[in-house]
Amino acid sequence: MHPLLPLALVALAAAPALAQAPAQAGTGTGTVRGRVRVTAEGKPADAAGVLVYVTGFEEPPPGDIPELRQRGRQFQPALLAITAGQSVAFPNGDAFFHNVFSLSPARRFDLGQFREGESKVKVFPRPGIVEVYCNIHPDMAATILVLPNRRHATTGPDGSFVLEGLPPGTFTLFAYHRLADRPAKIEVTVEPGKTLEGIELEIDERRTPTPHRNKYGDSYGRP
Amino acid sequence: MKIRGKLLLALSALALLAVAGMAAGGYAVLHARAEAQARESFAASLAIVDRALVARYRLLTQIANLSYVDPVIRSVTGGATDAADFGLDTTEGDAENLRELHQNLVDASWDWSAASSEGTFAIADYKGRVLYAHAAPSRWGGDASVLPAVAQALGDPRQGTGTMLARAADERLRALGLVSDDMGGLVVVLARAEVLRGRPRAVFIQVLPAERLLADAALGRARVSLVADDGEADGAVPPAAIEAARARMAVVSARVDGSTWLAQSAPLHGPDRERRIGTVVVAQDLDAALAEMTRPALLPLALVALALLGLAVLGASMLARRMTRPIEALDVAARLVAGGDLGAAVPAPAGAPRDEIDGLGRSFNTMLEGLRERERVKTTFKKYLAPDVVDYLLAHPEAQELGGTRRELTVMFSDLVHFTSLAEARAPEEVVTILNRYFTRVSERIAARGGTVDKYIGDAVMAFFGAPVPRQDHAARACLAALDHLAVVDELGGEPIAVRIGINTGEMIVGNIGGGAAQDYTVIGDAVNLAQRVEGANREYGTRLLVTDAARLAAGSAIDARELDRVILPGRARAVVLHEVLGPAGFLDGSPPHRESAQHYAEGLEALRARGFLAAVTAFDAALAARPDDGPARVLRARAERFATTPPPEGWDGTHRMAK
Repeated sequence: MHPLLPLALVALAAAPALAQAPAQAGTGTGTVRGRVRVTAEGKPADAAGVLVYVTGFEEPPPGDIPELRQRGRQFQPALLAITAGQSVAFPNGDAFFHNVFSLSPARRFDLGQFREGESKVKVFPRPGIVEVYCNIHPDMAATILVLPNRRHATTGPDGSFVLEGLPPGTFTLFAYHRLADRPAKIEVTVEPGKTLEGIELEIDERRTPTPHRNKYGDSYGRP
Repeated sequence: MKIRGKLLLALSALALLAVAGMAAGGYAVLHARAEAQARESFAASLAIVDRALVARYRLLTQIANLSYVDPVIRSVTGGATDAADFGLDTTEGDAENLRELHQNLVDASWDWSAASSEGTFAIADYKGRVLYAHAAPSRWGGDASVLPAVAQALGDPRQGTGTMLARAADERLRALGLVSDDMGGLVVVLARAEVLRGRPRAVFIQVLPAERLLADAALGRARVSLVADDGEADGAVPPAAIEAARARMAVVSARVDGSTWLAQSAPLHGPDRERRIGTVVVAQDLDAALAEMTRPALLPLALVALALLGLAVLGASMLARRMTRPIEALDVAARLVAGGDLGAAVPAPAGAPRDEIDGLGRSFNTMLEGLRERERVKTTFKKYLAPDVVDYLLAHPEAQELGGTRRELTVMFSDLVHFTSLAEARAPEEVVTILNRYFTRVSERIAARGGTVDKYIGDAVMAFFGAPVPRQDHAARACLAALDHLAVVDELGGEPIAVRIGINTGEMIVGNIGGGAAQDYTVIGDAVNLAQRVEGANREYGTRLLVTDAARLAAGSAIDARELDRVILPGRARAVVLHEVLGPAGFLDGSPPHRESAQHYAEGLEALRARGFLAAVTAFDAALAARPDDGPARVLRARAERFATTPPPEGWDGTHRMAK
């Protein structure tokens, strides 16, 4: 159906071979360490679970298929980072129907209605932001960030992060949490075999709620 | 020749003249009307162009707003903006992605035909990349931000508005597919950016042929053109008229192929009404309009003229007979009026005027009434009144009612000094001549200041200010009139006469006082008497112009004056503070000796009142040194010296009791 689907299949097929790539990277790559400080409405907040990623170079996707599970009328996780070309599975863990869809230009799709235990898989061939909703439950929302490479990490409880295996060069490093409007960003220069320490970013969780519509472009709850 | 024959001849000649005048007048009226119509249609046309542009833009805004409600449109056009925040905007150079976004817009199956029916329509993303251009087939790609209008809309997150006037042949427009092959001349580019959270997300672009804006604006014979700043013009106005109109922002006339044209230009603004994007020129062939208006009127006019002439000759002989009688009556009445009898009137039967002559007779009667009224006003006041005062009284008859009202006014008394001796030394005729010249000039000056000359008492003049025409600044007017009065005496020169003036402001009764023919519009009251006393006080101080405290206060800053003394005037119980008016406002600034003597005088007066008599003498000496002819300084110096040897009794409050 989708014109890029064959391409995605090729990417999937190639995944096992590409999994060896980091081993080759070895000493030619660099590392970035840092911390993300999180505030909510100006006050310090939980710094764990912030997504940190870099852009500016491309890598083939890994072979695994992460899950975006529907459970208790929630998407889990609410923020998922993958690499362009990677697929995502959408298992339904609830005892009722869900209908997962996205209108985002980076990837428009509609998985249709499916019951408990069923799972659908979708490939995401192009970098971009994909806002995922359920056409039945208006409160369900998740964001899939389709990144150009595999160099992303999640902060620990103290907000610290490590990004390893970065090629040399100057890139933009982003830190993003779903409760923030926009990511924080900083320029980093990676040198081979070295570790860049003490990168600090700050994000404020005060996302303006943006009401969305169902897949037909109508308000939820309308006949 | 008998009057009847003359009338016949005159009436016929008049009829001829009337017809000729009518033709000339008619032509002038038509000419004026043609020009007025042109100007009117210009204003309307210019307004229509403005409104048309705004209406087009409003339509585009509506289309943009409505489209943007669609989540697909919103996410397709706005997605890249968000993606850019995340470093994930890979649309740049990604033709495949652009094609997909374009397809998404096509799939959204929005009906944008309203926006493209008269021109072209396109949607671009936040960078100006064209995602969708309404054409057959629809297309995409290209950077629309090279168009100033699009760059404007994207760069203005408050309004998201952009406009420009361009040639249809513009390469940029062609490359973006924003002009169709049938477009020529000039096009208007409208751009509307949808703004979300302070950032432009998508631009809706509409390109309209200039002729679309002009189609509705060509009213009547008016022709309209749009002119771009590079001189390229599109529309129906001849180039010569455009040249003439662009020179200045007014209605101008121009010669086009031997015909006179009117033309006007106005700036063409974008829908924000601020940015000027070009010029609108409206023009009209005035000669053609005039010819068209005149042609149908020519034959009827000629027929009417002939008929009038015939009727005039026929009617004139009949009319002449009937007219001679009332004319004779008018003649008799006019003679009576000439003889001074304003009671003469022409018999006028009741009802509407029978004819013009009858009307003339009534007008004559009305005129006589006016003359009588004017005469009555003048008789009532029996004195010189400025023409504007007479007009005021004619317009406000209540101002001259019998009885009186109590009002605050200013009254002025002036008296000639040494005139008695002059009168004795000269021949009576000479004395009368001098007096008449003096009174005439003084009356003129007083009237010029809005005052009313009340009466002449021998060589004295009494005038008041603030009635019958109410004047807020009557005190200032009185003081300035008094200064003029002094000037008159100075102008008369050569004659050994001087004048003393006293002015007071206060409540007095004003009205027509007296009975029947002896009635007189005058003022009475204690305030009047006080003014006369003040005039007399000049004698003691060697001054020419004294005013009371009340008048000084009321005159305010209109004059320069100094406090002179506190006195009990002869025959009065209460003390009054007198001031000497030195000149009009600013006089002291221009006359250092006066300023200096006035200062020392004030010091002396202060010292005298505080019983510092020797200090007072010193101060008055200083005043005299600055101005040896300072009369009051001399008088008060003598008083201070006297008090230095014979001090006044305890409890003396500085008031001077003036002897009779």
